[in-house]
Amino acid sequence: MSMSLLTIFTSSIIFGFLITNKKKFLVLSYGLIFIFLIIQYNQTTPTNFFNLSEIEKIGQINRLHQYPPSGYRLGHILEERPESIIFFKLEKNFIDTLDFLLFPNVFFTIILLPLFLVGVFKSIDQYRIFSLILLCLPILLFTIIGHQNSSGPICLYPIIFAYSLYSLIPSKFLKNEK
Amino acid sequence: MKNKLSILLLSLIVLLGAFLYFYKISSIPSSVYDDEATIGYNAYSILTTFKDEYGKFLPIAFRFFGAYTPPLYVYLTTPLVKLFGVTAFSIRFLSAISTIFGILIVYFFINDFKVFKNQSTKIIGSLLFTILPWTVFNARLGYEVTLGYIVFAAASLFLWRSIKNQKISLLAIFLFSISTYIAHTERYLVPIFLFVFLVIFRKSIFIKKNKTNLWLSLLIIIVTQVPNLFLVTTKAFWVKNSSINNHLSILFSDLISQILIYFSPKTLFGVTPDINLQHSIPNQSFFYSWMVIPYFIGLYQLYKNFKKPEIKYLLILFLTAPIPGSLSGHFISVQRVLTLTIPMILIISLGIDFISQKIRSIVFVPILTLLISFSLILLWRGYFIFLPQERATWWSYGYGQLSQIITQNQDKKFIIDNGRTGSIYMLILYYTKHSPQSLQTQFSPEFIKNYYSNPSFNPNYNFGNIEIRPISWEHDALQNVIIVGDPLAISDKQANEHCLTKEFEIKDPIGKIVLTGYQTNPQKKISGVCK
Repeated sequence: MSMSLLTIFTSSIIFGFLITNKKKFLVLSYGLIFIFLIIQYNQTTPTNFFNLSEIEKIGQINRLHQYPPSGYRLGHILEERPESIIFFKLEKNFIDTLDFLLFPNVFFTIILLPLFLVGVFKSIDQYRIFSLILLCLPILLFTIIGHQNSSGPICLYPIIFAYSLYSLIPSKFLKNEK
Repeated sequence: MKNKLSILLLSLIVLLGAFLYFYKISSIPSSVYDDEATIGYNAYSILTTFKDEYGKFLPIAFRFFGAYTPPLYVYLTTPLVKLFGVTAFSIRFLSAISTIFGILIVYFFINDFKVFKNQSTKIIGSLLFTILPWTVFNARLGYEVTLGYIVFAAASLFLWRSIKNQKISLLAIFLFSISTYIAHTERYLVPIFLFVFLVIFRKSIFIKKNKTNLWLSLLIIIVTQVPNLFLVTTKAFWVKNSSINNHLSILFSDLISQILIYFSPKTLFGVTPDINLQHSIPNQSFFYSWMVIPYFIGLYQLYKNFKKPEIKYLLILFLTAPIPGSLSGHFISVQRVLTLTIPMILIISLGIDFISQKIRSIVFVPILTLLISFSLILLWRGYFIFLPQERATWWSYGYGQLSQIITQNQDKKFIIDNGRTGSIYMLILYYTKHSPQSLQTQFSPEFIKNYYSNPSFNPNYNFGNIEIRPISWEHDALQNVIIVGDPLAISDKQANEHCLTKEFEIKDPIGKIVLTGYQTNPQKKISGVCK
């Protein structure tokens, strides 16, 4: 219940910033999103970039054996080097964040998703740079820590609701920053 | 000079494509899949008897395993079988060569769309299309889906050009119509796409000077669709749209969730959710993960330039592409949405075009070169190293070797278990090049008469010294036969229980047993000395 109220409140503040572009809304938005990021981080089991699980180790050995002798050096770089392991895990986390099916309900997604995308594109047109940075913060967090949590991407919800609502406001009522 | 450079670069890209699509095409993937074998064998059957495997004379849809696949790919493969024999090369050749034309289609689309500002984008877009995992994978497949989407893409390119030059519309309509005889997807996509196109572009199409072309187009459609119009009245036409039979609310809900999955960046740039691992490359999705950034920038360009005709046309291609796949009833079937490839690469190219205008060449070119080089390394790793080994069993590995053993032991009888895979018989027919005339005698005239009305198929076969059916332990252990099955069909315990002697083992490239052949010992079984 408290999370729902916090989500609604945060969405309203972010929406307020998007339409008014006022500093007080900007500061409040960032503050509230940081609270969400902390909650999200506490509820997530972070991805382990430095140690492989037993299954991952077996997979790594099996894969190394598949390379031909001429490709073994490259295989070692791609399969065993810590930099490669970290890169592939970061890549997976990043792509997982962009999954359209993050929301549990299909109809919810099909209604909000186009509105959200239009809202983001509109904010680009309106040069709402700080709001775009706000959007990138949860994406950055999920890329680093992954998605192993039971509550879902709660830090994204206020941003998605705010942008979706923002997309419905005609551009002539909005101030262009440029 | 610029044109000459473009032509030179395009030629190099085509050469790269030819290398990627033809290099070891007979051995990677490591064996012929069931759907490929059925194409090859039916082409062989048409070549030698003018009839398909069941004995139907020049069918307008091939029954295969009850799929009633549109016929054109088989007929076009027939001369290749004559030239190259019943081989993986002859089956896969058409897909590879048509994908090379796909490179040119992407080039000309970008060239024609005035929304692209940078002249180099057509070269970059063509190159990216050439090296996409999805493009390479499907270029090396020996069945109809690739040729289908390439012909559809060619038709859509000509249709776009026909907005300015109406005469080309006749070629476009002809190609659209032909594409419906290549793959199931196009049967549903073409009418949906054309309908939406006519609605959106009605002001450009329905004009007085276009009247003759419109009537001629209608005539072309009617004449070329006669066979399909006949099929519409039979069960054969409706096998690939099981969703349509659902209640409207379930149909709508399924359609929406499937479309969302197909459009999801996780599906397109992460890991494909298609549970059939034969449809994908290990650790690769349709597109390289870095392309997600130009993809979203491309979507932004669609939003910004929404009113431009090129963008409207691109949106029609993009939004209609996943509809046939969503109606098929399969959870996710990536091969039914291949037509998404071209609009996706155009959107990604829009994003790259935008980036190339904002970033200086001295920064942009090295970054792009690095990304393309890294992508080629990942492609080599996923497709040429891992796929032939990790996915061998998904490509029905082992039946080529089994067929060799059978051919070398003509005096012995073989019973091959098909409890889990009903299409095994086709692999044996393909590899042993069993006489089509002999096979056709198994089907009655009544069966042939109701050819298009009989989608259910019986996977059990008996030809030569081979029986293909589920193992019946009560009877088979008492005959002098070699029983063949996968590890789930015949366990060590069963082998001991029925006094079976291991004759041979067939392993996949990573050493896993895929098939084992056991000789029965009826005398021992009858005397009851088995453990």
